[in-house]
Amino acid sequence: MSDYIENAQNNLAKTLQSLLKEKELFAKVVEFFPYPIQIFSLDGTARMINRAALEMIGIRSMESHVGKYNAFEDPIVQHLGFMDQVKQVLTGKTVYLTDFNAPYRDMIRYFNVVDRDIQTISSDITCFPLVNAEEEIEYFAAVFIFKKIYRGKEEITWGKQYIKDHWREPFDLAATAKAACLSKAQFIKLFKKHTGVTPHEYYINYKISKLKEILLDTNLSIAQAFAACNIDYNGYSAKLFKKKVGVTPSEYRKRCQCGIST
Amino acid sequence: MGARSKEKLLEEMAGVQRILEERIQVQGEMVKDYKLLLTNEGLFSQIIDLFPYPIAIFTPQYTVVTANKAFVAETKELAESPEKEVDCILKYRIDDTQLASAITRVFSGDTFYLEGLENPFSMFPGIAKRSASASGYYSRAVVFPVPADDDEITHGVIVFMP
Repeated sequence: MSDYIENAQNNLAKTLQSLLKEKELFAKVVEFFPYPIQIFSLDGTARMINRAALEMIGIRSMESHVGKYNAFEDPIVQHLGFMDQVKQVLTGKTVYLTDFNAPYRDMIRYFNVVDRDIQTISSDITCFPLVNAEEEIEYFAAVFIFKKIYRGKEEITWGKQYIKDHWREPFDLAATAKAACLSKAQFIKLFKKHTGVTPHEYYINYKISKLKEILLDTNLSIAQAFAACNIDYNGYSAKLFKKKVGVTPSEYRKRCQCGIST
Repeated sequence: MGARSKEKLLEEMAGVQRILEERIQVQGEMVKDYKLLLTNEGLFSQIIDLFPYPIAIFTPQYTVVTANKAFVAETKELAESPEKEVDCILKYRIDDTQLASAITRVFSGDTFYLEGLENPFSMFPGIAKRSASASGYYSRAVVFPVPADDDEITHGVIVFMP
């Protein structure tokens, strides 16, 4: 009996497969397309998404998105100022949106996507109309060409490394942010989130830690130790040291020599 | 009928029921897949055909089985004899090593993101190489595999991007 059922089932699958061979190929191309593809009804409701949309955007399931998400009501699209451009697709135009930088925190907040360590998803989006045989627009598609996923930690590590490599030089926020491949505003926000301090505070702390190391060299005067760190030894810098370390530079040196922990 | 044979019969019936349940589950999955396919049958081909960038779908023998409108338009524009349809990839004409490798290795299941391509369309018959400055609008491409149900890669897809 089981053989009979299996044969019947296999025959049915074969017949359907041959009937739908070409359609199935197209379906698979869409399914395995390496960039997210979403299809929308003309009212903006999501009608279909591919595998990459689930994996790369972080949509939890087909059911949580299809029929529920509406592109025309998306607060992120609205906030980033792309809504008017997106709606032009309804006039039959292909629309190219460049540098669509969606903050992932907002995506979690509004759309309940998978909570991952991602800061921003940066993509170029191409929206194009899908027309029927009568040349009427039935749906529209959006393809997300992912440029970069800012995961946060990695970029911050690059920024920290830049500070460590250039601690003797004056602090340069633009160059540090560039080393982290982020804009200045994004970098400050992300840095504070991951380290608890601003990039400038981190730079100062790192510089002070280096100064503390150099102060242990008693062949150098206090002013020389400061100069070795490219810091002018003056009232301001001495005060800053005391604020960060808790004691003056000379007191610090003295304590270290006596083995008193600071 | 003894007690033992009754038990055996019950065991056999349970076995058959288990097989039926498994088959129903497979059938259910099949119905679901085909339902999705039938519901969206026009949609999938429209997505490929109306995609604004050129797409070509090819077999392991480098036969182009399907190409979309943007691909046809671009190859017509570049071809010496525009009336001739592009039906294959001529591997020996690919100078770019990353593109040559992608076209082959896609059938091992890998996806390739290529940039800085010059004359990528010259791998199709009837399209001559141009100078670097006039090599065309499309200098990027993504090449990805399409597996069959048994995971064997039956087709490769190349999408050209500006």
